[in-house]
Amino acid sequence: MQLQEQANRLYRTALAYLGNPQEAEDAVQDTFLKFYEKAPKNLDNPAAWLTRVLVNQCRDRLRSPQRREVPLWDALPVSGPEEREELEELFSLPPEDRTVIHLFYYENYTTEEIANILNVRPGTVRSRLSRARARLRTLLKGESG
Amino acid sequence: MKYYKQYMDRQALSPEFLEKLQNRRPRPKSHWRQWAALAACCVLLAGVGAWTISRPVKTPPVQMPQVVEPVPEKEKIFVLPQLAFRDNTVSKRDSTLDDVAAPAPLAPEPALAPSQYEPVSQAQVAEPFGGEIPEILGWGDCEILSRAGEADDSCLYVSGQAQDFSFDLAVQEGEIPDLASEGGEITQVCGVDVAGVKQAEDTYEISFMTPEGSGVFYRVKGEDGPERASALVWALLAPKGD
Repeated sequence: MQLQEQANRLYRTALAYLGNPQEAEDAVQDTFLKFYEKAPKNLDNPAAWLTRVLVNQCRDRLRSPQRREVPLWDALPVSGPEEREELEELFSLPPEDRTVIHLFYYENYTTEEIANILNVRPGTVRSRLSRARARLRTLLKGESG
Repeated sequence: MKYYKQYMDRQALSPEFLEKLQNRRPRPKSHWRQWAALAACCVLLAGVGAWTISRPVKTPPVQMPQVVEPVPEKEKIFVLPQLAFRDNTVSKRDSTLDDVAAPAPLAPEPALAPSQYEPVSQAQVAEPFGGEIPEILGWGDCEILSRAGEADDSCLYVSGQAQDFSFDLAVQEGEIPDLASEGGEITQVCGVDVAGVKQAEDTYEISFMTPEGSGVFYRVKGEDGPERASALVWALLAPKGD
């Protein structure tokens, strides 16, 4: 996969996690630096490795007391009220839950793959998904999985 | 999700950012700098040598011998970081059937059967510590075993058993069992967030990500668990030379 494609994929995941474009860019940059310097030589699945490192980066950033919350739709404008409504609904979830939703519905990862990326048990992913689904009934209307 | 997907599809990194990312790729090391540095050193040495030979010789003035007080070697001050631990034993005691909002305690992994362990070389265990197991860890009397099939270049999963304590250590590139998101207490050590949980009266767990990108999980069972956990944090995070 090309660098551009990978970087944009990671950027969107970081946006979903952090909800802040500047922080998302920083997380992507740090992830690639780690990849260049530290990635094991024979990676079976570089995309999953990158996502795992990115999620850890995002987690660390969320813990920083200096971080400033900015609604994502203010920083990256929406094209209409429907988009805004869906984003507001999704961003009302805790970061870990909306990341699971993003990886499952947007990136089309399976629950096992997400568990591997987030380093949690598959059962934890499934419970996060069902908890998020319960809160996002309108948003997920018509989605399968 | 239609509008969310539509929105995310539009989000992309700028070409300038991507170019910057591309330029951060490590380049093959060129040796010309090393040769230039070596040549500069040679020139400097030759210059100093020539000056020493050509300078006029002065007779040193006669001096009475002086007693020189030996300067005591600077004593090394060694302070272990004080780690904080979320006390899961308290939440377990306090929780009732009605208390559904209480955070779920972290369940320790079930112990593996002895047949699921295999010997591991000292070199493999020492690798995360730069090639030598630090004495401060107190692993000298431990029998250290690896989980069968789980030790490779990017992952180390070992367990140790001594008379008065035992431990499990996992070190894995880019991965970390996340005690922090499960409510572990955070202590910052050398700029790294170390999450700690006290799982039982004598069982302590910590996890953190090293600046090099290795996830570390350490579980110590023993009376002096917090100190042993601190020692591991120190061994992996303290600036080298301390």
